[in-house]
Amino acid sequence: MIEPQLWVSVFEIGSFFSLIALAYLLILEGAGFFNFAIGPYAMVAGLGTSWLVIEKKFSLIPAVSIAVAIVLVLAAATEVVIIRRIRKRSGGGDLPALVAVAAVVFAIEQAAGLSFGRRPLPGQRLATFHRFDIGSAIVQPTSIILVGTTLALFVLVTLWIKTTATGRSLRAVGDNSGAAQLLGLPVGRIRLVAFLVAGFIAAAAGLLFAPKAGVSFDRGLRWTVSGFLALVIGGTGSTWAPLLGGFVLAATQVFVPYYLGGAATDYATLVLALVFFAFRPQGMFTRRVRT
Amino acid sequence: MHSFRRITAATLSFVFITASCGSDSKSSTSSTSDKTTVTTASTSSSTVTTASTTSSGGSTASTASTTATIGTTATTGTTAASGTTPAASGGSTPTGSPIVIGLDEDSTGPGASYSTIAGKTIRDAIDEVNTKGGILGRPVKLIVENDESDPTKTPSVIRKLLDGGAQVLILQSAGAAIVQGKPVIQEAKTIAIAPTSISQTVALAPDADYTYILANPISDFIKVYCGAFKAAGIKTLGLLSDASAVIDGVNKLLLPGLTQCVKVVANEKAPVDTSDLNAQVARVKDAKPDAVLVSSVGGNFEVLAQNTLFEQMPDVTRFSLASIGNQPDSWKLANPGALQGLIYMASINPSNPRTQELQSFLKPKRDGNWQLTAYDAQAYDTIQLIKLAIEKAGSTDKDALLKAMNSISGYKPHFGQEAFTLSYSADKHVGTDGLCGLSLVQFGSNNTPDKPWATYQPPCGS
Repeated sequence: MIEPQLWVSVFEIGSFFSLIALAYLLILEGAGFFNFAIGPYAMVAGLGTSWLVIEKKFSLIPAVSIAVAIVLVLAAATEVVIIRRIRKRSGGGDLPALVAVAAVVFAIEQAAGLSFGRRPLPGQRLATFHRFDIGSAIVQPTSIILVGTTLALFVLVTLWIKTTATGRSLRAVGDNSGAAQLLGLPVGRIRLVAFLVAGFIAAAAGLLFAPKAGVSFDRGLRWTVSGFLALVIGGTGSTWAPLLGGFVLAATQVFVPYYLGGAATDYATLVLALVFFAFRPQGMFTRRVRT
Repeated sequence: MHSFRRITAATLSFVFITASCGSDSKSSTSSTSDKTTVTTASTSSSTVTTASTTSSGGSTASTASTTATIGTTATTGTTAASGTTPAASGGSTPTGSPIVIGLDEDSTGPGASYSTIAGKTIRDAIDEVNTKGGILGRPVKLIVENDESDPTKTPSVIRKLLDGGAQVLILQSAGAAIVQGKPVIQEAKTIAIAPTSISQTVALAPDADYTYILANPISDFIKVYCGAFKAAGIKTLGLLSDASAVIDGVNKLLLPGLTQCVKVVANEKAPVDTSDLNAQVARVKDAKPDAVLVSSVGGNFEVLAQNTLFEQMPDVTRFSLASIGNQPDSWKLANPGALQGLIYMASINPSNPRTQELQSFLKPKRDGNWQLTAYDAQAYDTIQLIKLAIEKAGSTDKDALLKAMNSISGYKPHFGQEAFTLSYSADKHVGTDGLCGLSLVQFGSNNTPDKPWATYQPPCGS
């Protein structure tokens, strides 16, 4: 029988992966672009908060507020200062912007290392209460907050996209920004909103996951790759797709080392990615289009 | 819309870009972090205070509560390492060409969690030496490079330090990395000390005529663990390791020895930056070991391992290497009570008066939550040993320095039990005289080291 504690891990890791994937999806929907800087945004939120609390003796709420604000500024700057300008110059091509975003990933990581230090820091617990024992499984408060917040954010994002004008415009702009502009939609503003909301979700993910295993300046790239894989697995057909993708990826990363040993984890993840790229590139959720 | 082509193109583009940027980034990291830092007498001379002892004839004399003997000649006054009160002592401002110490400090790699602690104390100890008149009346200058504990980088980093004029080397990096640098050191005929290394390979042939270590090596760890397992009736062991190069090297030495006294029924490893260890711990649990040993560089991996073991195997005795006891910052990451009962290999004994003196010296230089670690003590003793050797040699001549280093005997360090000593000779570059540089210490309920483990303590002199 599978250890119940392993399922707790699947929920924890799956929640984190799915939040990162959701942030990807929002920018993909709103700007038609893969923003690989999502992982570093999450890292900055987690590491910045810990640095402010531990090194600068800030209390938790101001530290969290400052760290999230930094992430929002970074997200906005990525769109306004870098991607928008480069796409304009390159006639809307994706590749120059992707090159720029890859540079942004490393720039943020190195800047975080210089600003917050290169040593891993423990993540800050946003709330402390007694752990729960469910059978033989132990659920820490940080896990409950992470999973609960993840579900809440998915519900809120779904409602936002379905019930608000900005949310509905998001898809129109991402699908065809030229047509959206002709229709009079505020394309620039909607793209900026997509980046800001995605930045906020990434910041929440980094803040909530950091207490599990700490955070360091070089975690961003790993988180970027994990979130991207979760999006590839889940697909882009629904706001709930990243949640499923995140949990499938998490289950792979938890159960494979249990049954096959730790050395098999990376191979299993690679095989999973290749299977989806080759046979199901649209992911598990696809959008239905009426013809 | 978001078609296969688009996702594939984005993926491939990002992979290629990150692959190329990744290597560039590492280079740029190195160039940033490898920035040479210099500590010279000019920066510290302003802190010279009234001397309780004076320097004369270019050599510094200071009061000594303990005396190290160099060869057969007992030299009082060359033992800054043995109990002077640094802040209360002073000397004339050193002059002349500086003695250059090259420090290979892993300040950004897997060893950063301990190397930066040692690096800070090395700088403080050099400042103190300069404040007290330098070595042979000459200032000491520190130049620093970073190999990130990457064995492929170590030879070139050492070469860079030597090209920068280093006359003595301090290797604050992983044992596996230092081993790769040994041929360069041998060729350069330059004394090199690895302050916190527990890998005896660093100080054993081949190419070890100039390399030295201070701490009790892994072979001593094995003796202590085996003594502990025997005393506690432990017959089977589960091993949980991080997959860093440092620990790979440690385990290669540790495992063969441990299998002589216990049966290793599980051997699991995970990446050092892993976010979850439940699967690995579940496999260890399935093997039903009497005890679990966590072999890691410390930091987040160690605490994650202890958190997970505490949840899944609360009744099983847990052991660890030395790292967790020397990283107070990491204790904060542990879940409430998760470190309780953990037994680790300590090198700090609060009853050692020299340890107390070092604590008094460093405490004003650190923040309020600071705690003395073995890394601090071993780093401090490294500088004192270098000072001792150069003063005995009377110069930085390579042959004289080697001879002087090999004649240090009975040096009383600032770590270990009070009776613990370090001695070196031409065929003994592992300094420890016996096991009592180590002790087994147990964590208490508040996740801080509490007291020596009652079941077993390593004896002196064995």
